Amino acid sequence: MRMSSYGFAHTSKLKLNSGEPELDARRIKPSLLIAFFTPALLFYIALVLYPVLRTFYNSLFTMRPHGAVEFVGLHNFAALLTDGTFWTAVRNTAIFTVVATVVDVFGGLLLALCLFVRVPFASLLRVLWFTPVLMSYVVVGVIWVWIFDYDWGLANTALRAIGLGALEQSWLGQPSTALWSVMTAHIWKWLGFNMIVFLAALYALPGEVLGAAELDNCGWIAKLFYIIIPMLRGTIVNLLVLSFIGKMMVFDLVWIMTGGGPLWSTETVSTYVYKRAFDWNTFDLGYPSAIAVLWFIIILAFVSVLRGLLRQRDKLEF
Amino acid sequence: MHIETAYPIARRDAQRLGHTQEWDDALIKVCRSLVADRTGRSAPGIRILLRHSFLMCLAAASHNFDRHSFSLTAQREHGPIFRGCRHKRLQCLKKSAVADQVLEYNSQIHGERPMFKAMLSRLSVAGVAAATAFFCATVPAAAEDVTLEVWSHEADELAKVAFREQAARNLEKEHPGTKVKITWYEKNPLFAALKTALPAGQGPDVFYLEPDLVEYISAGYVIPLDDIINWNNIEAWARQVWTHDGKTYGVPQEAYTNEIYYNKGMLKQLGVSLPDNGQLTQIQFLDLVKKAKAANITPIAQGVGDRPYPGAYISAEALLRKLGPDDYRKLFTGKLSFSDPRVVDVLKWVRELVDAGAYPKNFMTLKLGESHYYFYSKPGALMLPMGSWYTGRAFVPEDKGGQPKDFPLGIMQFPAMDNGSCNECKTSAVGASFVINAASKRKQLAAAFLNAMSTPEMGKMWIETVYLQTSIKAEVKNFSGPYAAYFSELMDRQNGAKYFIGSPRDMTTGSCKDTFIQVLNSGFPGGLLSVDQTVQMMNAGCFKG
Repeated sequence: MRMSSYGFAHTSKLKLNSGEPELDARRIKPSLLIAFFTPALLFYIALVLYPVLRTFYNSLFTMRPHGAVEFVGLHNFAALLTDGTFWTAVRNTAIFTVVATVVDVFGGLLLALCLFVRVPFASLLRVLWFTPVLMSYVVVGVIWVWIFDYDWGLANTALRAIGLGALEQSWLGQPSTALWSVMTAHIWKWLGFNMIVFLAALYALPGEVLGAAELDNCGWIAKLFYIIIPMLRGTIVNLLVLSFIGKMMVFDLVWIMTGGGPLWSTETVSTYVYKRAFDWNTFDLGYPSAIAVLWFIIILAFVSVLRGLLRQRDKLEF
Repeated sequence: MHIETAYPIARRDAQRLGHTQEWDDALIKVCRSLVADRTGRSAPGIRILLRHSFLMCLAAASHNFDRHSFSLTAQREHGPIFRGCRHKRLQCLKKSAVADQVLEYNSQIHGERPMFKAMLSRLSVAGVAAATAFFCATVPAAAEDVTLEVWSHEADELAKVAFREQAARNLEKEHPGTKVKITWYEKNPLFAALKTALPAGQGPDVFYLEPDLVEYISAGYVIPLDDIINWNNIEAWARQVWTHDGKTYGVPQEAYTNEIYYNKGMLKQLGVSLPDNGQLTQIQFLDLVKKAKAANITPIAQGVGDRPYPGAYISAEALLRKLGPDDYRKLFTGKLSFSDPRVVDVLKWVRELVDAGAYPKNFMTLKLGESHYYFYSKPGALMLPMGSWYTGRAFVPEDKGGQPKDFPLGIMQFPAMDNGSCNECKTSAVGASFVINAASKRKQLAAAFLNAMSTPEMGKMWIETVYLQTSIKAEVKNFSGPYAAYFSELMDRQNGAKYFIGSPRDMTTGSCKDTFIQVLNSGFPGGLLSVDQTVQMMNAGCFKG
């Protein structure tokens, strides 16, 4: 047996009974490997790889009437540069992504820490905070549209009840508040997911390290910033990246709550792609495909930069 | 089993399959033989054999027939033939081919039975020959066993569902063997499904479409209908809406006019009475809005939460009356600037309405269905500008979201504009229509369905059950039923009207349509934009210079 750097025993050979030949999991028959691998691979090719490649292909063409296609090269990409609605969508998506990602991830960490230190009613809170994750975007969208309704919504009713009626507004009807309102709903839905992941990571922290810190008279704040967060760095980076990618592609909640309005204030790149593909009185998929391709490249670039910036440069020793 | 029992069963099967007399005779002869030779068999066993097929009769006539072992073999080889075969016309062709094999199998396994085999051979040859000839002759009739696929919007409007389903049943009666399968959608999912299915060469035979969606015509996904539809049943002006480059691509079904529905009780409470023609002036309308707001009544229950047009009703109808039909069309097709002083005058008046609190605070998120409920139930409002398809949601039982039975519904005209070019003008448009998929393999049948929906009788049914105008020529002189008064008032409001066919969303496309939705439908009536900003943005999106 060899010991991994995590301290787990690792066997690559399975010994059954004495006298019987050892089975090596790596010596699986190629035909069996292919048989197990092929169904999933076919699904992946049909539902993921082909649509992606086809989108790249379509972005170089314009569909003309009667099924004709015309190769236009990078013309669609050039047209994007002067598309005001596209850049409005990019701005909205960037704001949404940055703010919602930070709040989601670090808000989830905060909730996880609360449960880790066993605040009162921790079990109940864990269920309550995680329940929105299980809801579909449609349900979440409808709930929050009701909450934000001017006349009978919970938000304005609560403000009136505590004497802040002057602050009541049409949360989804004003360009200045619509994006933040949608963001609130999105954060509410995903906070619980990050919380659960962080909670699992916290419980997986080596207890002796935390114990040693306490023996060294380390306070909770110092323990949090100098020990817990550095040890959770991998988890934080992974959740930041996942959250970043998800929010860069936000569509469902925006579509249900505002449809991109009012006055394009909640228009995201994904909703704009959908509108250009299905609402624009055309069957031409070339331009919306170009938007999707460009956005794919931008997300890829940002994720690479993010991982590069946040990667662990020195090894943790404890 | 006695032949008196076996014969009716066999004859019923024979008739169901459309057999000729020869087939009938052959079947009877085999059944007689079966009964004579197989007196040891149980009655249910014989009945099952007779029910399934003539072939089973032939097989069972073999002296050593063992139903279990034979049928297992046969089911392995020819399973579908023996299961429910009588309903599958094409399978019956196989019967005749398989019959020889069955007999061959029996003779090989069970030995020859000269006397019986000779009789069976004579019967089988005659029967199989007759069956083959008969079925070959009836294959074209068998091919009518087809399903016509239809995709339709308005799944939530029960009267329209009933109307189109009735037309489907009528077609099925006229074309036996035809089944019309209507899949019901809401509008946006329907168009999303069409835009993915049609480029793939798939999709239904017939689908719902609206006249502003011209991209289906330019992309070649729908066929011209000039030669396959009975246009004598369709109003000429409605057909014109679907005519492009001299060809007609859609069959219009629904026609509507834009009206302002109002609460007669609330109007009386505010001390306002309508002139005889039901049309207030600009100033009178603004005053009415102010009075309603002062009395804590929402003047106009409108919302743009899920539709791209309701917020623009007041603006668009005012522009129509101010500019007249020609300049109105030019405005929304990019040939007239929104900076035109007449346009600016109208926008200024609308802005006064907005500032006076004409629209509810939840205007931006209120959905179309919710605005109906807001108007006639809770909390109640004075007016609801809406297409005359208002009835589809209002004239249903109250527990399904309809208006209360005693709701004092009235209809008024959109207000007359000062110095308006055409204050008698009124928007009329074609709504629900149906087209035929260019990739359909059943175009003639699809046309038959469209014709079945467009008969004068169906037009009458539409008016009397949907309570909405129609593009179908239907003579309905006297209205009856619970909504007779409504229809009489609706017809009164059409007196002297000069119709403009089409709405802004029929005339705008692409970027102009998107700007119209965000600005004139949503931002401007929502109080988010000044008149100057509205003019600037609409020109940027629509005006071609």
